[in-house]
Amino acid sequence: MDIGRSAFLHVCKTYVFQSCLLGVWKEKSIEHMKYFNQGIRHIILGILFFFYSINGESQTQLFSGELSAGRFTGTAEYPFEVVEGDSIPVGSFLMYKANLNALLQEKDSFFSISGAFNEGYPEGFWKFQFGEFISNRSSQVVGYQYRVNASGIQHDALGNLTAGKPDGDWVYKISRVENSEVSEELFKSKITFEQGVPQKSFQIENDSITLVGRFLRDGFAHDLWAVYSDVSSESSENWHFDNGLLGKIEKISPNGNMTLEIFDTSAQSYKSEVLDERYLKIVKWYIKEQQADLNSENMGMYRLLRQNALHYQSINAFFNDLGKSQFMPSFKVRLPFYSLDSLETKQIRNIAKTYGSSSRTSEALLGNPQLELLVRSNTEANYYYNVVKRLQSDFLEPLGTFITYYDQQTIEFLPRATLTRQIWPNGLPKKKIQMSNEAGSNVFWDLESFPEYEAQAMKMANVQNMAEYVESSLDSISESMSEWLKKAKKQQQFLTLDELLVKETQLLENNIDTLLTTDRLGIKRAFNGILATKETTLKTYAEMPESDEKLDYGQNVLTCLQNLGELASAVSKLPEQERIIKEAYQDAFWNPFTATIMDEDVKKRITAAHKNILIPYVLDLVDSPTVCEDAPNILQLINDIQTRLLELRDEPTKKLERKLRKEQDPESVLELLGIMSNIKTAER
Amino acid sequence: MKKHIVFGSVAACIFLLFGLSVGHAQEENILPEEAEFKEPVGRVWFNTYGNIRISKRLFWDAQTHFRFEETENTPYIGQIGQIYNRHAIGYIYSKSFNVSLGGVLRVNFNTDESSEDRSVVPEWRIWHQYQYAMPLGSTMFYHRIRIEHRWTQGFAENSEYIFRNRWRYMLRAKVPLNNYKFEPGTFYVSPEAELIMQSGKAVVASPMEDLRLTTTLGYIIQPRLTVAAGLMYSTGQTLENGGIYKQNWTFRIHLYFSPDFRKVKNKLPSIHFDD
Repeated sequence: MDIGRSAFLHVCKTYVFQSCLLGVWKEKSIEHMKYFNQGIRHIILGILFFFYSINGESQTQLFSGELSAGRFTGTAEYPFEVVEGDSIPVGSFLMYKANLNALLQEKDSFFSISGAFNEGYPEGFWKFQFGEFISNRSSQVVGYQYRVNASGIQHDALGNLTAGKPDGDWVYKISRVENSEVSEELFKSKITFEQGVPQKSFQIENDSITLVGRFLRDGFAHDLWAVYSDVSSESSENWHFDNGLLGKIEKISPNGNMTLEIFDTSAQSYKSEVLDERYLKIVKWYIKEQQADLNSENMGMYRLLRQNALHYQSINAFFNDLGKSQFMPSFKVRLPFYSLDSLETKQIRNIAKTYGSSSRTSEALLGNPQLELLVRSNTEANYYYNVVKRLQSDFLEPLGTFITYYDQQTIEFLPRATLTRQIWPNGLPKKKIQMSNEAGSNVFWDLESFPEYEAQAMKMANVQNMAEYVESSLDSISESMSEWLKKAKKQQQFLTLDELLVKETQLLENNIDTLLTTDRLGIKRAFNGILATKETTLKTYAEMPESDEKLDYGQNVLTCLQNLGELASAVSKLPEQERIIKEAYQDAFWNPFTATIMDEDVKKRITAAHKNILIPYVLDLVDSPTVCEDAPNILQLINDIQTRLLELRDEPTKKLERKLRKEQDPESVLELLGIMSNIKTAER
Repeated sequence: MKKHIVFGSVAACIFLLFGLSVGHAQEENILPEEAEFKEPVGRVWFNTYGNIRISKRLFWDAQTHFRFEETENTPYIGQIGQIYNRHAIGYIYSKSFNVSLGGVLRVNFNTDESSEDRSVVPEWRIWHQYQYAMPLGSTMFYHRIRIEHRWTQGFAENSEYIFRNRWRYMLRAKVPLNNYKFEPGTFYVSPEAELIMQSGKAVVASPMEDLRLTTTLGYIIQPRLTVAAGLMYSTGQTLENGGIYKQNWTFRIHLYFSPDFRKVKNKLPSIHFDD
């Protein structure tokens, strides 16, 4: 809209200005008429554009750019409308990603999605294609196009949607592609929907088995759902549904047939649910309850349904990110429902909370390295440690399993009595924990202040009491051990610190040995100073009684040793720096008597001040007993001196040289040279 | 460097041939039957050599020598014989070649204690000089051709000026002793040989005025200050009679200085003559 306005104003201004020109130069009137006509045309166009822009605000706009939806990120093009601040896709939709370079170099994850939206709902025919291809890196030109063969896996999903719900036939298939041709079908599901409700029979197959099942008109699974293997015309697995309720599963195998009764057909209440991951988990539990050694993951039905649900989930996530839809197919099922009343719900929530805090405490204690060391030397600590282990294994682990059912929201679909019996076959563990199996042993754990609880696990109140007992026990144990732990931690800190100090000291001594190759400029004195400072600080540290102050002081000593190391390195470079300065302060000149080029020292007062005043000053500082605190400043000063000296080489310094002539005080020299010093020990 | 050697050698040969042909033209003079060599005279010379840069390529060559000569009453150091002022403007063609043109005022003192003539007389010269330097390893060789146009007069009252030309060639080497190059702190030894020929109406039978053989030991104190001392033996025909040769042993002390009073910015670049 703004662009329209400014274009309009621009046209108006141009016209007025050109009208003035008309008045001034009449002799050029014909030419000016031409401009005038153009001006009128511009005005009309400008007005039209202006109105178009004003009305355009409620018009459809076009999105074209990068978009992320579900697991897909790529270029998208679609029209949208802004309604109450929300952008709603309308009309045809296209989104794609394919990178030829990536394909040729390594592999390409591609996708292409096309369809349409109506008022934010996916509507009409939709097609998804995605996968990952590699190429054999050879190409050929066919009909003015480069052709590259690709191999990999491609997913195809296509079907109709009405108001965001699948309607009609939906096919999802996965193909293996070799050299741009489908070589094998890895998965295929074909489901007919009506307004999102699956209808009639459906078929899901992978490379070895096929599932055939059917629904009632209201979408409930019904009758026989059978799995056929490719090698036999007989079904290998039958799930018997009756109006959504899975009554039994027959498993036919060469070793013998097996029938598993699944849901209770005479339960007090039933609930309709969607056949999804959660439902399969519940079925899995029932299977396991009867046949503990049967791995439901290996059951064809389970596998195919799960696979199909995951594929539909990925498309559902895409639609959810873009607009309003209910893509997940509602394969409806019924299952017995053992509802929790509000008190039980509250109790389970409390159990979950208590379990969370207890398991954190327990993990912290069992994973504490100091404690692990401590138990070897301290029998009491060893006792506590073992109690925590027992609390973990006997109380927390089963409780964790129980809580998992709550977290997965499956607890209300499992018969409570069976579930609790499965988890606590002997009822809840006793409050008094016997720590030894030996007869006559009287080692146990019991938090006597805590009231006894009943062993019956069916009652959530009992479970809650037990959970609270574990929490209190762990709290009490941590409290008892905290003093030891603190002490042990401190000892550990001292050990670590001592180790670091020894390491740093050796490093420093070795460094000084290596660095001390010359005594030019008297640097040996500074090195000796550094070694003396090291000795004094270490001695002070060693003589201190073990305390928090000693720890703090030790940290300072560590920093000091590191600083001393840096200083030693800086001092060792002083002769080289002095040589660099000497070299910098030389001019080559032609000596007429020898007819040779000679190097001539220039600005000798500056170099002399550096060598005779500043370097000894720096060495004095390094040699001082308070060098540790000042180390960063001394390092800075050494750097600053070098930098400034090199700068002064090319600056006019006549006056400075004159002033330096009689100056012997290092700090005045620094001031004259314009070097700031933050040395605290300057007043020494 | 090869170019330098060839050039220097050619110059030296031409100079010697020229000198010999001058000598040949004087052979009809009356000479003693055998060459007579005078007793050697001891001399001490204090020489200062200034080389003052005045521009990128020009310098002022300023030399002042105090030359003492022994007499019967003053052995060893002797008494002042000449004060010698040699000045010139030099032109630095390259690092190894330079030329100079200038004048000399030499003040000659009468050292003949028995003489009743004038005790001081001036001597005037116009001189020009061409000097090549040739490095050979760490040793430097120098070829110096110096031509002087000289007006001299005797100590006798109202004596006329006589005009002569002097043709001088000197070959000098400088060998650093304690270093591989010349820099402050370097001692060097400098052997040199100079042949001075002369010509002019007054020169009848004595074209070889002087042959100087010297060895000097020098020390570079600073880049712009060098001292040296050495002993020179010299011999040559006397002007009066070509058959009589004078001989001298001269102890020479040199002070070389080369200040540059130009502003720093004008000094740069101080060595790149060809920029």
